[in-house]
Amino acid sequence: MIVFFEAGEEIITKVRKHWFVFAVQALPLAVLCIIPLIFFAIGGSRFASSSVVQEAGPSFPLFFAGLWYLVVWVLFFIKWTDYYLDVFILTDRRVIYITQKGLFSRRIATSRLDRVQDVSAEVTGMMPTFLNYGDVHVQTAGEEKEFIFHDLPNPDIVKDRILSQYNSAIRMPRETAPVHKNTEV
Amino acid sequence: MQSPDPFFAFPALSFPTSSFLSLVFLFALLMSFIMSAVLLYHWMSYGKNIMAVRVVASVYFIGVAIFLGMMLAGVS
Repeated sequence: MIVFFEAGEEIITKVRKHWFVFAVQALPLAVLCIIPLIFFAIGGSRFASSSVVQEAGPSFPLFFAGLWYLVVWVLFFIKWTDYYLDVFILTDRRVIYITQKGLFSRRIATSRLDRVQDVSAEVTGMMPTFLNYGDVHVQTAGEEKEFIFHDLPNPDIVKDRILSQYNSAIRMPRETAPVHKNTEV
Repeated sequence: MQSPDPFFAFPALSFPTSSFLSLVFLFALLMSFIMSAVLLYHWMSYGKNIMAVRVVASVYFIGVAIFLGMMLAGVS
């Protein structure tokens, strides 16, 4: 993780986006996987008698399918990497939100807990309601007025953890603030 | 006069189809190497869980090997 923690800083919660968000993003790739099968099923005989297949040999469909699935396979892992590297981290001192955009763009937003002013959770839509995922909004007194953490599972629990940790951070000196070690939500 | 193949237009290329397929295969091989390097960089840099990185990388490379193998079988 390309985040440098302070000495003694402990991670309270580390959350990724809900799996359903990734499933929706990967769905078009699943459709792409079916296309060669449909292609060969519908145009199989026509394809076999095509001059390019005659010239390239009978194993040309294998070549075509290999190329197609290789591209889909690589695209799937690019999407998965993009999903996996989006992380929300709550430590005993800060909230950190890492957003990966594609393979070569990343944004790391950080706010100290003592600058947090207001936290709210928002679940909008049918699937987010059924699967219980949504956005967590954190208002801060810093330069960046609002952090929005998108599509987190159990946003109410995340909100409560932020508020709980905020209370601990402002009540107690940093060295003695309690640490809740449950890191998964 | 023989009508052009309506299914595929690219047999009209000036070099043999097998050479064209070989070029496509080499391009796919190069793309796989580059993408593998980029993905591995990300997994190794930001993935603290080494075991998970190993599993994901293994699955990825097995898939790449299978599909490149399919292409190679199609070329030869």
